[in-house]
Amino acid sequence: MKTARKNYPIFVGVLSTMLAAVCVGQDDTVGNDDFDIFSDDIPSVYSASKYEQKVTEAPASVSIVTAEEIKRYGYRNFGDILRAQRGFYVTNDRNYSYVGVRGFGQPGDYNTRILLLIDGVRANENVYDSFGTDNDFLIDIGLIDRVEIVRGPGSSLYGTSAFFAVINVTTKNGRDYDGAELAVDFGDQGTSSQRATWGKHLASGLDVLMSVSNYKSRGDDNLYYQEFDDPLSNNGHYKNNDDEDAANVLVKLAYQGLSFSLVYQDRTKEIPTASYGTVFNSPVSETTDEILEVNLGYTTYLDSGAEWATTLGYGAYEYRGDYMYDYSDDGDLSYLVVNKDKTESEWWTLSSQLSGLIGDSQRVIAGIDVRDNVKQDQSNFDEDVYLDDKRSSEVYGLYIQDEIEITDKVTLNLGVRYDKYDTFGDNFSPRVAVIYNPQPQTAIKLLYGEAFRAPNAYELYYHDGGFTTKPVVGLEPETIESVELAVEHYMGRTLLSASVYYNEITDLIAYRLDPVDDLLFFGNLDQIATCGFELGLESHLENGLRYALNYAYQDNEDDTTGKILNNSPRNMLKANFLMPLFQERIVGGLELQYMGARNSVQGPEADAHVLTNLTISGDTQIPGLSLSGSIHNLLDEEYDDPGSAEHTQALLEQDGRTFLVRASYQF
Amino acid sequence: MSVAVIGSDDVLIVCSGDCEKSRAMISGFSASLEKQNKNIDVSELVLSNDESANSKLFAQAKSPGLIFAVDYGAAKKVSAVSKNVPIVVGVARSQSELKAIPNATGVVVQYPVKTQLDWIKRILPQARRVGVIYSTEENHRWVSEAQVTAQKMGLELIAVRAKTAKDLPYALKDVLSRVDVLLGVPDSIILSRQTAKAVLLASFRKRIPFVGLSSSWVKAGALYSLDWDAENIGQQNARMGSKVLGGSSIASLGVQNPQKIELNINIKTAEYCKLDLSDQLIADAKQVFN
Repeated sequence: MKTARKNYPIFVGVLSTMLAAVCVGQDDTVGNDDFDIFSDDIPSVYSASKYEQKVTEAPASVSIVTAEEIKRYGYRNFGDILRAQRGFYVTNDRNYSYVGVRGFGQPGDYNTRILLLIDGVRANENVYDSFGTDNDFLIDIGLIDRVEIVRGPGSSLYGTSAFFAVINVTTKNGRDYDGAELAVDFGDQGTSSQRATWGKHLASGLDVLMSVSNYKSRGDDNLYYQEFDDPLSNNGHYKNNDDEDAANVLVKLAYQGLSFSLVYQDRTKEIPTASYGTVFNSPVSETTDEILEVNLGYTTYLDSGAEWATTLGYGAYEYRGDYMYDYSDDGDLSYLVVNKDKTESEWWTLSSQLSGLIGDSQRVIAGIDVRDNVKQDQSNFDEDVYLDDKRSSEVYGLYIQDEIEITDKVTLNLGVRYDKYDTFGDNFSPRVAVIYNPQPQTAIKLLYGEAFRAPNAYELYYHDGGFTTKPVVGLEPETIESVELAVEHYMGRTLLSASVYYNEITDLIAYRLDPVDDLLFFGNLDQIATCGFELGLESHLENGLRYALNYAYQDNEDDTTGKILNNSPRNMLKANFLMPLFQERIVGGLELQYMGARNSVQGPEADAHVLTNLTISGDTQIPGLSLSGSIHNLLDEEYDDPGSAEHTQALLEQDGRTFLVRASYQF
Repeated sequence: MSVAVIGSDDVLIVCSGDCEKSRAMISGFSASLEKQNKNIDVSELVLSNDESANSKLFAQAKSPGLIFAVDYGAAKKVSAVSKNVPIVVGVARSQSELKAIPNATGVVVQYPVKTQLDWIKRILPQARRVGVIYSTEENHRWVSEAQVTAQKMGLELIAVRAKTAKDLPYALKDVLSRVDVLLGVPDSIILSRQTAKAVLLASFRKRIPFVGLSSSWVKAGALYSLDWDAENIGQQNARMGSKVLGGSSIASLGVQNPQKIELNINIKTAEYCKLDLSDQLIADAKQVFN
């Protein structure tokens, strides 16, 4: 009996239902049916402590996104996944997308304050310390098994970048496919993608997964910008220059404790905004990002039961930016030059960690991370060379965390990490969490943590030779102190959550203007205080309806200016619904996302807006064939994201209603 | 419930809860025993958790010739107030349970290693590596025996010992990275109400089927379990009881395993683990969960 693939999350739902009525206790062999102990289905999380624990026991506020939800909500890319999460938002400048967390999404922040893990391994590259979230995301999202979103500082375990959150993406294994899958997407704006995946758990015990995918989109072929409404700028119309091409490769091998993974991503995007003062409506201006990450891991278990895991990694990243400039004195497009902006980097990493129990009440994890940035080269040139910076650097990190069970209801989580950089020196990142579980379904968490973000190679060394920017001297890491009180309570299939937090950011790294020479440079700004609260309600009803409602309020002021930070919405309200429409085969997914108004760098405010996304998905009568159709921005809401300093436009209009049809076939 | 006055050749059936839950076993026992011993009287007694109350109840009866404790809980309770009357236990989880009661024997629902591995080969013909997680010294001995048997059958039994339930996450991660199927063995530390979810979720995440201990485990998500037929067990108990009434000592009877094996199977789990199960296997199963 060969059957169609069922998704794990569906199964977990079924599991929880079954567990709710099961007996596996001491007396089950004689048919005692005292069964209600498993009625709570509390998910588990790995990345909060680097070992699997219940969400209610984790020293952080955590959200989990499953492959099932990715499919049912018709998410197109990783940014779509994050948009739906409590306290998260994504800003798009029609070239890259930038993730904001708890009201902090500074224009120009290349996702450097969030740490991305792929299967538990750091994935941020080593020049900008960033990661892509749209079609420049490392993994085709069809290969994601689950996403763990851990809010709050995580530097005590992970070091730099784990500033506001740690996101761990777990990918599928060969066993999840046991065969091949072909997936195709078609949408408007000339959008199409194809993915071919093969996975198998071989009789030898070797688990193999191989996947290649390709994405292509024409984009919006007629963007209008009032700021460029001039005959020399095609009257403000940016025509046919929003193309995007991307490709992904994933290879995974696993044999017993040994694992190998290769991730490759390549993406080129035309820039339809004339950013950085480039020529408007130029078909030349575009960026290409290419990244390769290879990891070899080995996990073994000592006689004591402790786990010892070691990972050796290699990464390479290349960014190429072509920017068309008009160097003519009169600005009449008579002297066009393509400026080349380039970054090439490579790095090696070695991580080793030991985790296990000490006695009955302590779980300890300790580890070491070594990162050798063998290449962090940046250059900028056209007719002249403005920058040709070749660098390398090393980073060492040591960490230890002790989870101490004070009583059967109170757990103390203590952690600290020491990082040594050959650029700025060293840094300590502590974390203290007290978790009180008055009952297994309830958690009250008091969390204190400090995190840092090391100045990256871009901030330290990039400049354009003194035209607009200059090199920086003595840049220090930015740090955050965070206090959070979180309450989570599971009532059967319903989760209620609330948290209130206060963050104090010191020495924030951002562009500053030197009044002496009128040049921009990266500097450490003064203190920023942010605070807010979040409320959440999630439920999975007996009739199959699942819903999640969450509200986030954030008050983010710059202590120096007294102004609300740019691109910082005060209110966000999100509602997600999954509704079985025909048995469990066809499901409707509805998302409503309200975002409050946001300031922009140039002044004008991006208005509040509501996005509505609808997806209908289901398995067909043909075994293995699934279909879905999505309408994003169903009500065709007109809305803008704030531009950044490199944009002439204060606000950048976003896509209206778009359609996407998706088919996947497993065989 | 009061107990009838019975003679020393008679049989007292004791339950630790509602006897109706074990009616099939009791019916099998009574019918078979009466068939073999025409003039025997059989009575039932429900024991409480109060030992003095049990003593009073028990004192009302003349000492029976045989006690049939339908479950191990009843056996423990009755052995506390009756040290000398031979006890046949309907079902016990392990030999060590029975060894704890000197005047008892019975049927242990732990199937012989070969039987369990035969079923794995039948249901999962491609499986080569069988995982086991255990904690007790008794199971350590079982593992040693099982590894030899598995090797003879062309299988490899990979066992990981977890001293406490807190070691279980590491043990699960370890063993599931190396096996094709996880076999549950009775172990109150490793497989309990508190650990069930962790075990089943870990097996789902890896899509490695778990062989449960009972229909309850299968209902919860284990791929299958071997099961005993309650009435048949009762008949088996009756045969043991007849021998006791005929003068055989408890020690001479030894511990037995169920003679009739049935299968509980979960089709959803099979689908999720991408397993092909024959229609015949499903048709022959005692219980099919879907």
